[in-house]
Amino acid sequence: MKTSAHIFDEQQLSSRFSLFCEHFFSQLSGGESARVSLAAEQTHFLRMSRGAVRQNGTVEDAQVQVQFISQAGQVFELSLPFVGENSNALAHLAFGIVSKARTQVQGIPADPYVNRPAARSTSSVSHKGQLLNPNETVEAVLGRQQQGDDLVGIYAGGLTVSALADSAGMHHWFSSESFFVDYSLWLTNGRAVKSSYAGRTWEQDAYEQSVAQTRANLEILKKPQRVLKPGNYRVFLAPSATSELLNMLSWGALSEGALQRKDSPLCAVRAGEKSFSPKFSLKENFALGFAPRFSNDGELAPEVISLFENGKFVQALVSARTEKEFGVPSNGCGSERLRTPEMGTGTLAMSDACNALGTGLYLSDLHYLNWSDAIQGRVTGMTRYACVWVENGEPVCPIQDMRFDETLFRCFGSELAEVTRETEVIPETSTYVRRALGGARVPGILVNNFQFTL
Amino acid sequence: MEQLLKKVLSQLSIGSNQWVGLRYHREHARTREVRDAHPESNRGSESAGVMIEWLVDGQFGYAATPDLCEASLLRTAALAHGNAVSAARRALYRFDTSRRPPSQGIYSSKVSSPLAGLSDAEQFEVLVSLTKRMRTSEAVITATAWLQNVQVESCFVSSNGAHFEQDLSLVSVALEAVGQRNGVVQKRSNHGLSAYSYQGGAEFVLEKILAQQADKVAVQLHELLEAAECPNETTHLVLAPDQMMLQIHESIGHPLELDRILGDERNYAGSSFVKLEDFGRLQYGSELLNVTFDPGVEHEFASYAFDDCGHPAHREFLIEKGVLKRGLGSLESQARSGVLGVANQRASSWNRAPIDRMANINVEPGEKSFEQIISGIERGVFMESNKSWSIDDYRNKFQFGCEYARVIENGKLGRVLRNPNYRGVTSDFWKKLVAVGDPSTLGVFGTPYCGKGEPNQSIRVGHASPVCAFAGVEVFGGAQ
Repeated sequence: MKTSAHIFDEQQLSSRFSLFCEHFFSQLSGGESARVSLAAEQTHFLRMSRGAVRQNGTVEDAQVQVQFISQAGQVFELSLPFVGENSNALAHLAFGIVSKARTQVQGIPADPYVNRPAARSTSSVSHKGQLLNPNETVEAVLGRQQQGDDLVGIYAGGLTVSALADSAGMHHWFSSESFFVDYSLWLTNGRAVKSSYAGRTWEQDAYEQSVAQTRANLEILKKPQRVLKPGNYRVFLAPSATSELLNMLSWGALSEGALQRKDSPLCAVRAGEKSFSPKFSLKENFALGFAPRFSNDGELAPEVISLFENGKFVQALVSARTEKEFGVPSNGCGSERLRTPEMGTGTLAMSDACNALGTGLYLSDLHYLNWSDAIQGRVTGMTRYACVWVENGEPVCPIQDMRFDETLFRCFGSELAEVTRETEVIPETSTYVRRALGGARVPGILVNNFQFTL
Repeated sequence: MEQLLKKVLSQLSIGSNQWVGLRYHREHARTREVRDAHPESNRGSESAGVMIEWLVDGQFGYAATPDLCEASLLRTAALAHGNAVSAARRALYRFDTSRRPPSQGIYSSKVSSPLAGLSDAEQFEVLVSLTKRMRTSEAVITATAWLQNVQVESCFVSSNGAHFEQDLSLVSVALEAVGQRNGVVQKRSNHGLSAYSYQGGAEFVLEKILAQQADKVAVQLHELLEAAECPNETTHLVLAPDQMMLQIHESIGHPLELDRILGDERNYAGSSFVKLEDFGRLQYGSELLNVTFDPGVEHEFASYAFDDCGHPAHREFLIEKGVLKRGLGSLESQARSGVLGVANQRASSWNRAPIDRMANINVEPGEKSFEQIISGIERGVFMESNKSWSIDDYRNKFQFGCEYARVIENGKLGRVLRNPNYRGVTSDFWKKLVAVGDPSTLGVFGTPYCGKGEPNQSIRVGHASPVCAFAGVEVFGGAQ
């Protein structure tokens, strides 16, 4: 039986948030301004190892964050649990925070780049789902079909809420009932295939098909692995692996602030010294519905932000702070990091990936990427999971994991041979502090002369 | 809080062979950041809640809430019970109540001078002056000073009589400057990403000490802007304690976590090249290598008296004379593996269940002074302060980058090198350890950001180490 699983009532939470904002903004006096954001969730976490339950629990959490800006431009931010039950409690909470904020900004310098609330805008998006009941989740995820599998991973499902309001009249609400199963199936030889099943409506058949497909992909990993020497290889990066490389663009590369401070690898692109392939296009696409357009910083992004078009660097991610400091118009990206990227497609059929690769490496996943020389756009990381040696278009055997050290300018530039015409959705599965919102839509890519070092 | 938790506990119907624990965790953080003499962030955060664990038929179930009224906690307890019951049919392992000892006691960080003694304005003044000190020329593009002070309060009670309370006072300071000259861009910080992290108070934020660090950052940043690239060669590598911290963390700490070896982390952080049968036998490193789990080092970042399941924490040798002795495994992991462990079942907050974590993992000092180590090397590279880190999911093939290096030639430190990196394989690297510095070379560091677990948890760890030297390591510079 499928039922909605959340404990706290979204409507009630929404009313309490609005009431708190009303109390809070009414406390402000001339020249003061503020914004209030809310992050809440009710999540069931089922952690699995060796096809059994390692840990099983539920977490409810609601945290409100306020940003208080004094008349002089001094700023104080405070986040705290949002558990007040009634109007009096919420009024008391609001009064206490404003009083504290006024004390905390006394004597501190003004923030010259603070983004004051300025414009009214409202939105309300609620994605309803059909989720598993927590009592049924264990059997659904580790049901009879999966018995015997060495399945490792996590199911996370429930309601997540993100909201924002400010003293100029902005009021946005985004909620999503959703789930993901981020899992891998393992062989006794230590090799595995990684996969995920995510959405808003749990479909038992679809989940079991996902597991069955993952299980089928294990077959080739049963063969003895090949140990390759470091060097340059032609590689096909599956969407998950491509997504890992794209994530590096969030590490200070696509930040306009970093560009202005000469601390981004894309400085060389803007200066015309380096370039990307005409086959490479990238945008932030909030129309995918993975994440809200607003951010805690009080900024509202357009539905689509084109970043690279056919290799041409169109724009970076720009926050209101950066606009104030450097005069570059903001495109509503407070964190100046990718939240819902979509990479442009090419002409290669995914089913033809091995043929197009010919002889080389099919890389399903990459692991633990980091800059090895940030300003040069050079990244190091490891191959992981189902990475396979391909010969004359035929998958042959798994490889011993290898370390690569390669630049983004080559991967998405001079060495980018093909991009697939199909994409895959890579769900955001981060759960640090709370379940994150977001996700990516990414194709696979064929890259020549990919450099392995160890 | 103790009274509320005990009152809730007293109202629960706990069956025989069952166990219930309530863990309250409150964290109050203040973070201030200044960039180029202007405030970048002035933030406070408070998080508080209770996690309730219930053991039914050998399976722990949990539920957590920030709503600390009695009715909410009783409802949360019922959820924890339900989660245990629904999971018990498919339990990975059947635990008993011995995994949750009835410990009692208190622990508090030693604080010589509370940071609260400094007003907000005074703390901002210190940070503003530090960024000004680092901007010593036009070549310095930006300078940042970041200060975080965290107070953690926890209280644990259980149905078998545990009651302990722990209060932590934590301070982190990060100074960083970025410079550019003739197309070369470099960064220098005080010991790498948030490594200046301690239990304590204002004694770690003394303006005089931080001013010295800021001056050093500025001077060395200018040296880096004029420096040659680190050469590509296989040579002697000498690591300062603020890089040894990362080396220990990634290639000793994580591979020795028993939950990784047991397979729980294979879908996220990864597994380990270490096998259960390796404990007591494996020659992990050279005979000079001695590594301890030591939660009792005053002021080290991850000191405590009990882990988050009530296991009393004591100093233990993990590696002695290069031989692997003991794993980083909790009472749960010890039961599952049959391997000796430590008190390290820790949670990042009230809303995450405890798992095997590092705490303070330290390399014990040897007998050589810094001068003796350097003078014994004909050619090599001395590297400081981590900048980049990457290692495979079995914790073997690693590549690490540092902020600052100097060449070693004929037993002496020579010119400065920029973009120093090195790579190796863990099981081989520690056997190349040829010199361990004496206590005069010891550095104690920590980080608030060790990530692991599903759901994810970021936790504080500490690492102390002397200067260490390795023979025959592949070092290299940046991209050409």
